Amino acid sequence: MMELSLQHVIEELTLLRFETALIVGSLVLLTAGMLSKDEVTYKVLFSITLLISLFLADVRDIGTSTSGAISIDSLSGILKILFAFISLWIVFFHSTFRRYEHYFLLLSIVLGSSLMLSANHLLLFYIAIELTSLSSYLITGFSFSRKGYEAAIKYLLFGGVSSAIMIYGISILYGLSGSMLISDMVINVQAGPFYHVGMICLLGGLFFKVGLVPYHFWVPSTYQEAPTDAVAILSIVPKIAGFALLHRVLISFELLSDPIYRQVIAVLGIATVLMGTFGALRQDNIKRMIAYGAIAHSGLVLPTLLIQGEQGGLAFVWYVTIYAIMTMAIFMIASMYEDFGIKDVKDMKGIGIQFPVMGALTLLILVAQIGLPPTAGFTAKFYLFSSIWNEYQASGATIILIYLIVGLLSVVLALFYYLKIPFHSFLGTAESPYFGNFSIISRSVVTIFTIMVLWIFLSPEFLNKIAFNINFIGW
Amino acid sequence: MTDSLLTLIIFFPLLVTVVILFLPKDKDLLIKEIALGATAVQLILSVILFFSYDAALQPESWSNAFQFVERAKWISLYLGDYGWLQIDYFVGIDGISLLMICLSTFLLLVGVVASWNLNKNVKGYFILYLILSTSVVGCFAALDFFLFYVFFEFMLLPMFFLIGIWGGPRRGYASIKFFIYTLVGSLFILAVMIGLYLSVEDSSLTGQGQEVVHSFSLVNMMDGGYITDGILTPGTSIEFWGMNIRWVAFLLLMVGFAIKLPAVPVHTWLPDAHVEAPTAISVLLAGLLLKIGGYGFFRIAYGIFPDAAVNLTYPIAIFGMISIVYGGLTAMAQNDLKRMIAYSSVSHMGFILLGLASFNVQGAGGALFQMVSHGFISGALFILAGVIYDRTGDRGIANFSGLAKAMPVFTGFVVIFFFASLGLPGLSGFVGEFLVFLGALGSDYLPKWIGIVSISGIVISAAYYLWALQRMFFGKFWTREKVWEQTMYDLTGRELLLLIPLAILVVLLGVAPNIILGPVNNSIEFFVNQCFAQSQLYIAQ
Repeated sequence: MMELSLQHVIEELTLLRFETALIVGSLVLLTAGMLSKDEVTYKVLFSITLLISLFLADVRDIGTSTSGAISIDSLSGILKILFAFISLWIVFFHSTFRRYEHYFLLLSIVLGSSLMLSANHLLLFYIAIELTSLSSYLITGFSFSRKGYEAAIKYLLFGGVSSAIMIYGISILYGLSGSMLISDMVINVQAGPFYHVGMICLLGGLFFKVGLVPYHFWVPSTYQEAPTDAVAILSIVPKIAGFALLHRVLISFELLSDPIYRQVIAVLGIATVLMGTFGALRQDNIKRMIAYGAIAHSGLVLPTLLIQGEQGGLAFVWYVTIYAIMTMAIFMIASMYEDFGIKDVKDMKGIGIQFPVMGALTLLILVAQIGLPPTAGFTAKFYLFSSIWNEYQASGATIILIYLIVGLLSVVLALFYYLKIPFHSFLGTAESPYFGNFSIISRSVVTIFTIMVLWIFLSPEFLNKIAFNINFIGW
Repeated sequence: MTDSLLTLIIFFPLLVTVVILFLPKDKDLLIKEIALGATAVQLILSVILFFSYDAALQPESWSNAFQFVERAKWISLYLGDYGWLQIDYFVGIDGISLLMICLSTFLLLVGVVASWNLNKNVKGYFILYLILSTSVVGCFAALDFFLFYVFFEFMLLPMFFLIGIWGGPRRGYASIKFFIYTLVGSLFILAVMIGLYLSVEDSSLTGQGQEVVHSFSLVNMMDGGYITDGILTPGTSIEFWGMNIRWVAFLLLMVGFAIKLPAVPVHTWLPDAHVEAPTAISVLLAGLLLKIGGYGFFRIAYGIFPDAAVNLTYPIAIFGMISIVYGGLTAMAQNDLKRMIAYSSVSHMGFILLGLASFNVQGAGGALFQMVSHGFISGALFILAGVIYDRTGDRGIANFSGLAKAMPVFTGFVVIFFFASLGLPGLSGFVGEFLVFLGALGSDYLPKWIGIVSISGIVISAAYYLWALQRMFFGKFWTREKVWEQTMYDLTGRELLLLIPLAILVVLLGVAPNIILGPVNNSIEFFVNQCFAQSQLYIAQ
């Protein structure tokens, strides 16, 4: 065991300056919240915190700190920037009054998720996950409705059990290896029945975080009932972090070279895609439908973890970046319709005719979600399917081919459910005209997102340049 | 000007869309006039294209088979260990695409005139219409697979809304069905497209550090610029369910385009879409969108996988034959005039499959001629069905009789186009079908009975057209509802304006098919010879 000195602490604090900025910012927000009752103050502090941390993020490949608990590389740096960038847009959600705790919890989720990206020590890893999870449980109840509390309690119960299982797995692995550092554990541990039990428990906890089948039950009710801006964060930030962490575990413990693990993970992924798409088909509630769509997206991100080599890493970064942008946009849109009192697809009859611009923006974002040109959603799916094809070409594994077929099938089915929205809003006729209008700020923000989605499709050079400079260590 | 003529033809309507976008909503007439102007300009440009096309060109390989080529780099993506991916804005035409572009621009103009009486949300309608026009023409001109695919997919959304918002009573169902069928087809195409670009390289480009540059260029794909161990490289040993993967890819493409064509048994979206679509959209659907399926066979399925095509002529011809006969028999059983025409389209599209399957110049030329002639004939037929529907709100064959007495001019046109469609010599429908039969019966790859059974398709189409003619137009004047009798006035000036040019073209092409066969003769010959030569080359590998 290495001696930890003050020097190490200082070293790690500089490495974790993104996270440190978030901690300081959230403490300031907490203090300000006690002094001020003005939501604008919270929003300003929230965005300043994120902006500062955005510029502090480290995109160099530094490797692990001296204590070995933290590792910093260009991939985690880029993902942290993505988290901060995408979370910033939360302040533009038009909604009822939000308490300062709301923004504090959102910051905690971002903090926990970025810690997950850098954790190389199982305890830090666990703390990061728990920080994210506890904040998520709480914020689910922040819609202050009966159903919201119900969803929060459900989420808490599921999450608690899965955390317990995960810590049990961690303790087994610790017992076998005598170390909490992932790098040491890999050297010390020997595969045996206990090792696999521990591993399966650990993976189970991670699967819960990213919402893979059969750990996806919390997703629909949480997404439906939690405040929409919180759902936007929940469906993007912790999920991407969970996938990056999952990949780190898979790679560090060399699980991907074990055909059984590969097979099982691929089967779970396929089941997730199918569960998400078929689940979404039956939904009428907009947010619930998006939730099932998000489950399907999880299933589509998963195969990138199985693809070894730079290609897999690139496909992962492309998919999650575009997923983040279009998911933020779709929740923004969902919250705008919520302001109109529209929660179900069937309530949207004729709204696209009355507000053609808004209808067209919604349509384009949905087209991106489905994955059709001319939107970034197509670029993401295209890159994904290309890398799966390649993986099939390289490995010849039938399961990969099935994954490709299921992925393509999911596009068709996505058309079925996402198209319900423009179908009703353009093809339906309203019983009475809608009163009021969409707020100008939200409309502009959705326009910006739509332009982003189109622009990435037409000219992906910018993202390509970023992706080109990432060093996919271990991928 | 000829340097960017194609780009101009493709994107001019899109440019006009931007103008319309900023016009106030209630200026209906102005918007219609602008749309008319836009499509007229497009037509004039494509006539210039037609006459400046060099018909004497005899290419040696696909790389110099195209004229009016424009190429610019669009997207370069880094693929990690697999090198680079290069997508170009790459357009150009040979005789096949030339005819399709001219047909498109003509029918698009016809469509604007046919929708002149529209009064529901005119602005939205013409914006979608012009977007559709860009994507259709773009599809026919694209020489980059990715570009083709983008245009191909981008057609779906405008069409979905054009049917879904301005359509008949069951428009919702019909538009969704159209969208989903076509999307399924296009996903097959997407899967093959990804497999293809991973196997094809553009050796003229080199990425940073001499990495492989994967290209989407259709020219490279047709000329066989494969990497050595690609998944779809000819001679690959990869099998899927006991079938060579190149055959599988070819079949996926065929299914994808057959849905668009449509061929039996994936044709069921067509009658629904046609019945519900407004007249102008039916014209475009039958005249253009179906042709994209046929064009896809020529350019992509046959052009890139000739080795699979030559081995699979038999099943393709059989599907063509089934489409011809089954489509005709189903048309005979319809009570709705528009539905009958829709099924007759299915039957006529079967000729394209049969012509291509015969793998000789007559067959391929016949298939191409059939695409053009069917574009004109079916367009006119849908306009004629629209005439009755506009006057009565009904299209039931059994609900009318003796219309010849009330509407003699209208009946005259119906007779011309019915006869053209059933293949009367002297009208354009005959030439295409005759060439296809020549091809099928003279083919080295097909047994004679397929051609012979297909000829019965002509008898069937004669039966349903003549029967419909006899029931609706001859005999005593009678309509199911008394009030309809007052509204059964003859053709208006606008309708005559639509039908006369179409009638002239149908007669002209029937009498002098060389007007269009002449300029494209070299292209067709090259297409067939090149397919044959490359199929031998690939099979030998």
